[in-house]
Amino acid sequence: MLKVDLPGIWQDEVQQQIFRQLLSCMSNPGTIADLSLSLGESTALMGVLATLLDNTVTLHDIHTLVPEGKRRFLNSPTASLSEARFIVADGAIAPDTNFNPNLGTLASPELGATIVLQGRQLGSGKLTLSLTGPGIPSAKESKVTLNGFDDAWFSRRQEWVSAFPLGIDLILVDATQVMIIPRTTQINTV
Amino acid sequence: MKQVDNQWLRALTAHTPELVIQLATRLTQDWQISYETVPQRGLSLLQLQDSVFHEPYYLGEIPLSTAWVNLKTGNGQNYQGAAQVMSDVPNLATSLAICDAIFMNQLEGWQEVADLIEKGRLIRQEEDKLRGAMLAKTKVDFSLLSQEESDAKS
Repeated sequence: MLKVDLPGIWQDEVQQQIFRQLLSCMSNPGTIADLSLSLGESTALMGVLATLLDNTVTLHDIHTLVPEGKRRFLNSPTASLSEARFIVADGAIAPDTNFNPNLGTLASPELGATIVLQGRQLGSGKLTLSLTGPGIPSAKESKVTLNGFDDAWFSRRQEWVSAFPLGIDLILVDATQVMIIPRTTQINTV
Repeated sequence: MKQVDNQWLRALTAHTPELVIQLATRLTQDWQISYETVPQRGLSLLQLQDSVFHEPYYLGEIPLSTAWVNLKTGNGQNYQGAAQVMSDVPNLATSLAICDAIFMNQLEGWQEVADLIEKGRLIRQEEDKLRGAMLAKTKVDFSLLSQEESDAKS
């Protein structure tokens, strides 16, 4: 039998497992999913990008978090910050005033960018977010703590999602975990 | 400029996929194979141009597989090969990419690949001859039609 080295995150079955977890996180904002069983030696960032990107989805890697060799595997065209469908950024570095992602149009709000932020730790840290909105039981607000994410990202996000349905969706990752904050979620920093 | 033989892939695919996959597996059993990009297998739309208005149109979907591999041989050297084939048989594009790397770099076992290419070339030649004969039989001579029309008018 032909044996060729291909890390798990590039294989269909593993990408389907990760996709199901992402779907669950998108439906339940604030839920932290552990992808470590699917990742092998890869990071959650690469697992998420390998699952969601292909040659039809543009990417802007503002802080060069995706290594060159892996970039070719993604097969995703590079686009400018304002046009990219996916933006990858270091969560610890605050977005500058020129950071203006695509918010979509009223006719096509789905064109709004998805920003993938890489931080140190989800579920512990000094920054606490209080989340409310669809997918979060109204009886309780969801509180999540973060480490390695600059709070400027969340204040800028308020501007970007202020004209719903236009806006951006956030995917937060650490080494092995992922959490999603869609544009429908309201955030209060505590 | 070096002349590149672009018929080797057509010759190899004249054989059954199993034969090519078995050869690639056997020749590389002591080597390390890795992908340079994610191998793709699926359907692709084939665009052609119509001969009257020269407008593009889609003939339909075709199965398409691509692979780009790196071979690390026993002495630690790296060699690359790639292939794109109209087939969705698992591992066929990868095996063809391996054959490409072996044949083009004349690695150990390249003569076996060359022999398979030569046999495939003969199979294709026979097929082409048969198709040529079928095409010749179905050829319509329109000049006779205009002759008949002018005969009918007169």
